[in-house]
Amino acid sequence: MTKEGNFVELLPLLAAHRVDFILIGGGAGIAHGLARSTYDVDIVYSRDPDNLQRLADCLAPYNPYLRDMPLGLPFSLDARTLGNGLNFTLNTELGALDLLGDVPGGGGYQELLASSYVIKLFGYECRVVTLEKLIQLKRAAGRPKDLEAIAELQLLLNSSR
Amino acid sequence: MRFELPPPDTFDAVLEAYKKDVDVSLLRENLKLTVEERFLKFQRFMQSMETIRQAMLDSTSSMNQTIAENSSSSREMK
Repeated sequence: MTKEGNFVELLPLLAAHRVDFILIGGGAGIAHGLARSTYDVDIVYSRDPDNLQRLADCLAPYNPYLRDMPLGLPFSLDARTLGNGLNFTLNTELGALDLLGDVPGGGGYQELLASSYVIKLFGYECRVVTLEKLIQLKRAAGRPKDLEAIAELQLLLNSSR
Repeated sequence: MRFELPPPDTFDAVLEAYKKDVDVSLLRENLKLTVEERFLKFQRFMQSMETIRQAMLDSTSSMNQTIAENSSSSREMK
């Protein structure tokens, strides 16, 4: 199985370990029906200390490592590291995973909670950002590469109304 | 690299232009699926991309080997 955009393994793993997270980015787009590819899994995670511990524990067996960092440098994704940082772009043995403590246009987990809902996925419950909020997040990110995706998301939103 | 986006009215005009080229039939097909099926469909797509990528790597490697062999045999003939 390819490890790019590996929602099928990463989302159940997080949910099985009761990690509080909200799926955003391309993965949320796929959940809403977007017909585009993505190479990583983007989540906004709760900064609650217990959640940081659960997150670190569930990823530890899959050797999480910062994508931009040269291999071989000391790095350990434990609860303390998560607490000291905010946004982490990781490679894991299950694929690329972006842990976001805060996102432009959405804030942190608590702020985003009201703009998310629970879906049942592979036997687990996962939170996904709403289509309206996903459009706002993509607009706030201000990346030209998102323009096509935003256009598709708006068409999906129109079709759901 | 991050770019400054133009004011919202221009932004919306650009989006409207993009919307004209969206293949709505693909979106309609996805909307017929459950969320789980959408992720599985995506996974199959990524898997097929990986297969193509691997095939390209294999064929490039095989082509380089053939070129190296041909070059070596033509040197021997000289």
